[in-house]
Amino acid sequence: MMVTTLLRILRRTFPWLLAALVVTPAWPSDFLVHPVSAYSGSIDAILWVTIAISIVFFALVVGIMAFVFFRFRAKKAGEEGVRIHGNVPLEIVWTVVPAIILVALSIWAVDVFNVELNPPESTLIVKVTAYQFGFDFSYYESSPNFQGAQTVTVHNICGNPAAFVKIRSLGVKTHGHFEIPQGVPVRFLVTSKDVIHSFWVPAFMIKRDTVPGLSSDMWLTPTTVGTYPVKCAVLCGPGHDGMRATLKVVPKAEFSSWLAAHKTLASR
Amino acid sequence: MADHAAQEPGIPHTQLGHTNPWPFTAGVGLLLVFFGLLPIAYSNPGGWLLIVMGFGLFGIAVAAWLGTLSREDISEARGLTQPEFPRIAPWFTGFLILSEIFLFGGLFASYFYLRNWDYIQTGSLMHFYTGGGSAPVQVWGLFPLLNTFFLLTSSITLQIGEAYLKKGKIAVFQVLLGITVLLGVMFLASQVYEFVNFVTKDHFTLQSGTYGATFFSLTSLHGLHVTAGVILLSYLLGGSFAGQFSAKRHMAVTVIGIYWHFVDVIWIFLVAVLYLRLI
Amino acid sequence: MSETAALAQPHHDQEEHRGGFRWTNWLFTTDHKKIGVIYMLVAFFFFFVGGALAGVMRAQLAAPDLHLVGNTTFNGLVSMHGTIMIFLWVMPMMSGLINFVMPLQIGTRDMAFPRLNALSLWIFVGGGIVLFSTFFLGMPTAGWTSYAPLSVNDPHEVGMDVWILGIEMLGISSITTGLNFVVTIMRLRAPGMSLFKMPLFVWSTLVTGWLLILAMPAIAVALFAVFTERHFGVDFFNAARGGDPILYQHLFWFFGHPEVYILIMPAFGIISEVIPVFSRKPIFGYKAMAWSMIAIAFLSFLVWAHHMFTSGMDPRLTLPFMIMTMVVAIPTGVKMFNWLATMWKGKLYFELPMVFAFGFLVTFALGGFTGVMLAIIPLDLQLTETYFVVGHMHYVMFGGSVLAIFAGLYFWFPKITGYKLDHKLGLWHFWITLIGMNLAFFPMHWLGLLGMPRRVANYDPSFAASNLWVSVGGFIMGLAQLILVANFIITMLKKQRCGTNPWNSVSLEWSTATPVPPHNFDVLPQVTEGPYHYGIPEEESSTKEQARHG
Repeated sequence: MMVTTLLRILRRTFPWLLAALVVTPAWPSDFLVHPVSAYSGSIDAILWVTIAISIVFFALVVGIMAFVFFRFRAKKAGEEGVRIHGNVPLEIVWTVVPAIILVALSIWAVDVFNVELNPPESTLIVKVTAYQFGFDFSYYESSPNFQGAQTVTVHNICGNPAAFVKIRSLGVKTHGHFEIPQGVPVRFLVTSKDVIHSFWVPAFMIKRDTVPGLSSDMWLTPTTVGTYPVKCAVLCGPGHDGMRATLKVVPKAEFSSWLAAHKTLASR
Repeated sequence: MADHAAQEPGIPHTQLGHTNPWPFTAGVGLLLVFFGLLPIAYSNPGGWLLIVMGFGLFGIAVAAWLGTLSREDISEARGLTQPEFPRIAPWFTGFLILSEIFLFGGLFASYFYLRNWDYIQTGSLMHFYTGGGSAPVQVWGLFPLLNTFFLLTSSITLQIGEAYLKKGKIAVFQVLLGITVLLGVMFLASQVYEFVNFVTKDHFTLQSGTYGATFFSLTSLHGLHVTAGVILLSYLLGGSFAGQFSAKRHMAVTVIGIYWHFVDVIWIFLVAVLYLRLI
Repeated sequence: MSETAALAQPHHDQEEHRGGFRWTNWLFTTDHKKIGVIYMLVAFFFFFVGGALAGVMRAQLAAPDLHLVGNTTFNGLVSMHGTIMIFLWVMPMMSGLINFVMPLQIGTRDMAFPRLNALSLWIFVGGGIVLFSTFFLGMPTAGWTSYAPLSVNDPHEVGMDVWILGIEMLGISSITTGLNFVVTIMRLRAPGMSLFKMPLFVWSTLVTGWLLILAMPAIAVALFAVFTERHFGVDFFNAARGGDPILYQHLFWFFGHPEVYILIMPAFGIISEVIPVFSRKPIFGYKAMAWSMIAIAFLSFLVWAHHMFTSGMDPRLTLPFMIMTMVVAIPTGVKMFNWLATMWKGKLYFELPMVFAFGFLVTFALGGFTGVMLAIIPLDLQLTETYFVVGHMHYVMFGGSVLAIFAGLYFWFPKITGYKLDHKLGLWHFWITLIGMNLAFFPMHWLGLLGMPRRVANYDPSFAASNLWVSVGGFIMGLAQLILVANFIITMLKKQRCGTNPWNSVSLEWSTATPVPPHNFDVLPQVTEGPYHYGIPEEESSTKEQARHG
């Protein structure tokens, strides 16, 4: 009797033991614990809290199921349950309590998202142009006061007629690898030459689809020096899996010299 | 609430359990049509053979199916069989129309989205209507005016005809129904002529930017619905000569009438949005 | 049990009295039961085809740099796996179960429009043939979502066009099916069966019918636009000529999100039927269960852009979609709690349908939680278009829809055939499927979080260990389905009859003979009780602890 019950429990938990074995070597990755951008820490926070809440509720569900499995199991044929049709207070509780939790999460999410929606004044712009199958990067500086022939105005960012930015080329263009300075907010303007791709830097917990004919934007302030992979995250053709780039975050001084070294006469 | 009509013992039911070859045949026909569209897309005229065969088969199946419906209706009218189910035809039409509203709605939504998109990109409200040309396309004119007259009048003739049918005046009903069918055909002919004019004189085509794309998609989809409506109205006409309808039994007329009025309402929206640009 | 009243004897059909198998009885049938069986058989065929495609993909992804197939082929496998599993396995399998069971459950003789039902079936089969032909004419390579401009740009890619035509055919079939479901339920219920006396499986069918009617047109429009843009130079999504690629995504997901509720809603219905029968208790909170399905269906039309948070649409407009997605989680949670409460103070019998229902509850809950994570925009910006989403979707689609399909299959098999599927083999099927499923899909969550995009034919070596587990799990899960096939064959050969109501259910479909006669009921039932009339009243049960004989 004891043995069969033990075996039953073992059989139930075996998949999770197995999962744990797998989880350990791959978990957690550095950037989930040591954020590498100014606000990715807040994203990590909401991530871990949501995971924690999910685990609690999941344990609740599995716990109740385990309990009913043992406590209310029919011992012989013909047994009937109790004719209970419902309980209104209980319905209210398990509607309102999850609602409160979800509302709280939503408010927090709006708070975190607002940071992403409202970039600080950044004068460094990196234009990312995706194509089949790679990324081109070109550098610009921006200021609302720019005027004149060298100024390019990027209109309708994300389809918003009020969203535009005035930029001037810094004369630097790279393929497949680019660098940005540590501690400086960088704004990315992303677009595509052909089909929809996606500009994804996993370490910074953010991606943006690159759409032909449209400029989208995202920003971040890197805090940690390092080299980070960039991947395409939207199916774009046979070369999708190999569509890569690298992003290197370097100290400010090093960035200035890198920029100067890569300046070409053929700007923009 | 008794959903099943009181049943009379001894009289067989109309359609329960019978096999019927026409759904399968219609399916095969439709399959041929869809397979035929493929070569057409690749400029292979062989596709037309498949499409014609497919439509032919589909047409035969639909005609035979409608014929079955007629015979069953007449048989029930004579009391030889009883209907299996209570009045459900209006429900079918109602939900079909709901689905169609979302279908046209999808295209209308695309129209408004793309018009707004054009405004965002160009800053000009009228640029969208140029369809990639130099000036806004002039679409309102004699033909859409005539077409509006045709369709609105046809709805009136159909309604009046049905009223006479309910009074038992079948001959008047048949005349008015015939006029309705005629008006529908005139609508289609006029629209074909209108499209030919757009293409040849104004160089306004399906390929004329996002305005051309949405304009012709919406009007063509509507035209397809008018065509289906004309076929169904013709079926009513035929059925009326076979004695299918009477003052008391005319469910098919009511239901197809609802469909026809729906097609009319869509036309009014097309005129208001695409032609007169009121919204 | 419901009382029956004497109504007229229906006309008996000639064709059923001739013995043996006749092609015309099946090809030309208008009988909802035969139509249901054909749907299920075709669906199972495609289940294995779609599974085979996954097998090839996971074989390649078992280790980095295997390159078993070319990348274009791989993208084709990706596209067809999703397409087949959604349109040619889950949808028709649900349709088949609904077709067979629903008219019986409401106490009527057939669907409202039997011939239209047959047309739906054959257009579906036609669409299946068209999609199957992509294996010969070339597979589409833009994913089952076929985003423009990728789906538009290569007008010579035949597979894309074949796929569009196939999906359009399936769309027509789905809309007519939805029409039939809704009108049948609204108009043909047995006398006494008010809306709030319907079984919840019927409620789920009603709601699914609404979704089919209202959601399918959007994809018809989207794919029509893609087709004309590919071949006739039409500009809907062409940015260079005033179009917008994101319009495609709006149209597609306006269909796409209700579509996933079309996939899960019948599963909700099946679980709501199974748990009361095998807990010998009424469903807890019947009205809440019915209203929550209505709420979920309504809300499903308001959340579509949660698939588009990174798309480049105006980010300010994305916030309402996050809110609505959180809102739709609430009625979904209510359902989970009501299922658990149904088992409380019941007497649980672990027959196969109940075993699979237990599996459903665990895996669907998990899928639901990852769904909440995806709803949170800042998290979605990391997780979307990665393996995290693949994990989430398979937990809700396999753990949810497919486990529920299995529960429904084991449950209604005796009504369809007269035989019970073998219990022991069923348990093996369940456990190996569950273990394989979790092995396959759980690691996907951290793969996505850590940086593995989806729809990739290859990946960074750092992801190798987890991908190996995923592939191993996938193969275990796939092979487990052979146990079901073996069970089916053995059961059909053994021909061991099990009676007309082996599960002692009070639902109307169990009150008729097995095999079900062509006219369903000799006398049409009249309904007086609610649909879950199980259990002993509370006063009686509280005086005694031991079981009473039923």
